[in-house]
Amino acid sequence: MRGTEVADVGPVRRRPSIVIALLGLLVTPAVGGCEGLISDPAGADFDGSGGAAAVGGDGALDGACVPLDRFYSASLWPGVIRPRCVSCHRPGGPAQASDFVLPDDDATIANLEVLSRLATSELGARPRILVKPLGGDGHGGGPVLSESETAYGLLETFVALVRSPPECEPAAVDAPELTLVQLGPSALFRKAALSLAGRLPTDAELERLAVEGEGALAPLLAELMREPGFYERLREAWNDILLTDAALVDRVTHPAGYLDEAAYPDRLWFNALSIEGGRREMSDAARLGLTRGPLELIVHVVREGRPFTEILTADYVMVNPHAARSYGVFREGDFADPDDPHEFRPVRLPSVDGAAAVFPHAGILTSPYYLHRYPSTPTNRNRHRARMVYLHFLDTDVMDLSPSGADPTEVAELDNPVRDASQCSVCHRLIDPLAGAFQDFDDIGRWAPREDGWYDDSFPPGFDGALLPTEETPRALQWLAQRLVGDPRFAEAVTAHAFQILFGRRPLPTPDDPGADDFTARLAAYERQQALLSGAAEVFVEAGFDFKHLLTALILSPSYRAAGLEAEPEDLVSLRVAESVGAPQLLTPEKITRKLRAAFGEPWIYRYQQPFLELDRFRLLYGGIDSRSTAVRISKPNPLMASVSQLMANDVACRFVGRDLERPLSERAFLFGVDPEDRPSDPAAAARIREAIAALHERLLGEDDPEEIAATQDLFVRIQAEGAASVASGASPLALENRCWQGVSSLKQDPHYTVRAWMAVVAYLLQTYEFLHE
Amino acid sequence: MDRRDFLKTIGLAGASVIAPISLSSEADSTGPYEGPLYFFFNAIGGWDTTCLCDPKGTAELNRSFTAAGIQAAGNIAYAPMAANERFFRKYYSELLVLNGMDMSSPNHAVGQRYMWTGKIDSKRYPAFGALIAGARAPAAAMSFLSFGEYDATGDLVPLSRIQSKDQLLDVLDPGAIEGQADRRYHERFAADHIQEALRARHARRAGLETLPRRRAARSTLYTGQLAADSIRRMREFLPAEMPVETNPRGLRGASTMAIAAMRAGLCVSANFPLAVFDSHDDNDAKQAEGLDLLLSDVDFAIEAADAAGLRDRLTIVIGSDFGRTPRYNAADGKDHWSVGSALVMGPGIRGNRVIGGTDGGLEPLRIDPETLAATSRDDGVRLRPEHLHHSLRRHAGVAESAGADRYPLLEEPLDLFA
Repeated sequence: MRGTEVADVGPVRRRPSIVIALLGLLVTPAVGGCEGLISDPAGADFDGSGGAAAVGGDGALDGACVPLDRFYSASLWPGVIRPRCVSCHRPGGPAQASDFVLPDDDATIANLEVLSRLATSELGARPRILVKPLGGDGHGGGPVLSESETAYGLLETFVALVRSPPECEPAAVDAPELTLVQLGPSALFRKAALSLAGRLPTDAELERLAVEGEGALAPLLAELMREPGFYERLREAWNDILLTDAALVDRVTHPAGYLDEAAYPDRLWFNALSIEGGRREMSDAARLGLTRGPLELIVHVVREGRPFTEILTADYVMVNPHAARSYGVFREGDFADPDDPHEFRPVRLPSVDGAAAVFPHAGILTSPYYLHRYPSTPTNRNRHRARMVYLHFLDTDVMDLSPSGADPTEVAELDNPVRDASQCSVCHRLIDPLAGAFQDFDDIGRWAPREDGWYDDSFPPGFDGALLPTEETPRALQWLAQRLVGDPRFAEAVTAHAFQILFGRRPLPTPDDPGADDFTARLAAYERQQALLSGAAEVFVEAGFDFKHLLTALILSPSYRAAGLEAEPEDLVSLRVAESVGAPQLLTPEKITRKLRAAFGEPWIYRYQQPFLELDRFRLLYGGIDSRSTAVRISKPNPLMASVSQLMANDVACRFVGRDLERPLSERAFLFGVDPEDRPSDPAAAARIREAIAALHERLLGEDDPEEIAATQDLFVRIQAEGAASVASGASPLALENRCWQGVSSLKQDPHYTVRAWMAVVAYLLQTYEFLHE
Repeated sequence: MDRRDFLKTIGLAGASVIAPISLSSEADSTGPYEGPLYFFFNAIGGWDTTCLCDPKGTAELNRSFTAAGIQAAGNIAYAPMAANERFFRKYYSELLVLNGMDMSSPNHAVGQRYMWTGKIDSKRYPAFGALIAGARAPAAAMSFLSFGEYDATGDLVPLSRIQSKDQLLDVLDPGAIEGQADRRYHERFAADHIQEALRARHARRAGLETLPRRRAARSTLYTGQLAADSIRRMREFLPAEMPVETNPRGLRGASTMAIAAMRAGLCVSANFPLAVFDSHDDNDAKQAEGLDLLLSDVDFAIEAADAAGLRDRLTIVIGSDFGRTPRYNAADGKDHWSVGSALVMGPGIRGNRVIGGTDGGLEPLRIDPETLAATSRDDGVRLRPEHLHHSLRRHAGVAESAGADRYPLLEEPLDLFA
């Protein structure tokens, strides 16, 4: 697919089959290059102490050699300058009249020059760049850093590097070649199919991949991303980020209860129904419809191939028939099936402020449940919402901007510290304008235009230095949405979310400890991953914010495809880089549910439930989330989870094996070609058993390894032989356990122990790393 | 070559940031854990310290009582509200109260992170519950047990979560059909063959893995599988009837399960969140209700630990994101105030003491680093979460552990517990 390939490994030498070479572990510096290295340590009068990494006589950071330009672009900029300085010290910013203005909004050489000048100019005996952030010399923003902060240490290190440039050779120059073993097209497609659509590749797809190779991947991925399973995964993945499914587990309150009764008089329409008339079911359907508005908007935008920016700019909200009734916008004929709670379509909400006013839709921003999920208070004034918007859509945690170690009690005497105290205003200058854009929505998310306007004792509504024009006030969030999607951080944020969706983890954080032994190595890994993310974000933007395009770019990247190394890392840099690649991940409860369904052709039911989906069964126990108090997944299996997977393996084998063996050969779901009576003692039967085991390995594990197939066959042989003897002697029962023959009519008895041997084989395979991980 | 050999060979032992947990720790034993135990009660939302252990009684700060109404148990003053009297009178001799803790942030997320890690500006740091579990018994089946909210592990130990006894029962013996021990999915010999096959497969495959992430993930899974059998021990310690909660958010069931896990030697630490304290309106009523629930459920947990014979091994820390403003807002609520308190009790911690304090405006007082008494001297220090965590680490004997080295704390240690 044109334009979807992202190189995340610097210069890449691609081998024809499955190996990709990682040359030059460290990405070409954003500015300069080796010329950017400062090689003359003479004249250094600043020792870089006080929390920063010590700079030795050779200019190395605690023994590690870090070139100035790389430190600047990978650490100083993202760790200090962008979050703490740029919001004010940029053209048009509050500090534009000062002598410190960064001309660009990225880690450019022009900005480095400005910062370097500050590092060499002094106030008293101290570098100016270290005095001002502490609030010294009348810094207009007050203290934005404290000396104990890591971020301040980064600044000190920067000064030290500028004043005492390293003589040493950066490790990157001599970094050895690190070569990745890469998943081939079929294995990659299997991984993507299970991850994104919850299914196995079809025979036809595998055939096409075998014939066309790499060229078949992009079109097959495009087809995959048109399937219902993909959209199921999309909802789930974006809920991990937005956590809006919280209302689905809340049985105390109903999202319809928070709608404005005057505007939506039918909001609780289902309460008029009798129990027999389906009140509970309709209530649940309305709950789903109201709660899922934001996630269904994402699904709609992706399904329709719209620019992903529409998730914030859409002039509609997504509703199912039941939510449409609550909003009072249900019309006969609008829905294909007015009783289907999973059918969503876009609608515009009615005015609540007189006939002239139109509900100011701004995608997720005005979605009632998003607003309710992130509520406000009279004193919070939408700041919580502003923080979440920064986090969700600009990849910025505003809490990281806060000067840690600051002393808010020092401002107790001020009437309005958030505006007048510099240590407060440094964050509120960003948060409050954005919060002000939510002014027409009340604390629980209802549209309630303010008669008296927004508070005038804080920073006025706006975004990123631009004030909200008065005439735009009734459409403040629409105005905001346009600016958000135009901000480069929007694409970066979506790319970081896409990375999480595919890799099962957040991108690497900026290395924040220059004194650490492995700082240089972490920096190398971080830079390398940033190259991948930047490239993917560019692809995303160039493709018109096509989210599928973004996913495809990441799937085809060497990092996602990494399955091994051709040679062991021989130094710390190589090790850290090697640790940053690859996307092995424990299956989530939802994914394991889908994988079981895909592998066995039917869902696994245990105690009348799909147990991995139920909070009171295995969903939380197996590391899932409830989107409320448990909002972060467990990604590393603990013994309790191992026990859950063992129970799953045993019960799935028990429930499915007998049933499948009873089916005619042509209707088998997973035990292909074997007869229930087939025993290894018969050579022909033994061959069929081997073939069936090989097919199981392929189906369940994606594996074609003769040694492993033989080992599994050996397991079958041992258990069948031992079991048959035990049955013959009367030590073992003739019949299967009750639970294992439910739904089976002809195989209740197992005189040769073959059915139980197959159960053991399946239980074994389901407990392997390859089945339990993606 | 296994991972240990691999790392040794290339001289990078201990260098991996994604090493499988069992191999990056000091202890690999899955035998019953018999060392010190920890409970962490997390009063989420920001409790009003003036309604608890730092009462003021001035009209601006407290409307529910006056200065004359402030009570004391031993040397510990407390607000005459909620379940305070019963709690403080019962436990004052064991309680160490830390008042005037400078939380340095009025933000929930930052405050929680700071309170439970001792580090304000890093998202990588583990909660102390994870640090101690990782140092003491990383391979125990439920070494760090979380019931939600702040439970970062810093990759030191696997995180375990339980919601209810019912969901546990089937899992405690995964070879039993529907939890019935006399009905087995596989006969013993077959189950043994399966386990042996898994072991052999792991041995074959682990050596083939070259990608660090895959190698670590495979080993972590296998370590979990090896330890899974041990969780059966918990069955005998789970009560037939779980306690009745006094509130749907109550913590009695959670502490009962944690105690069962600890009795079985499976668990080192457990954290219990109670998210009811963010009282931006109707402060006094909400705080009273929250403190009532918190203190009565802490009391329940202590009594249960006592009955289980664990009390002399159990250290309890009760803390919150921060405190609340020294004034009421227009909604009779109080907003966020970056000064807080913590309560600590346990073996080796000298009780009946209050360290630190606040002035009439709820601003933190400095303390003498030697005597720990309030001081106006310039060399006095503000009590901070770092000080609490230094003391916790030293008290637990893990200040020199690999985890503590990996996650160092700022501030000079104070001898808070002696």
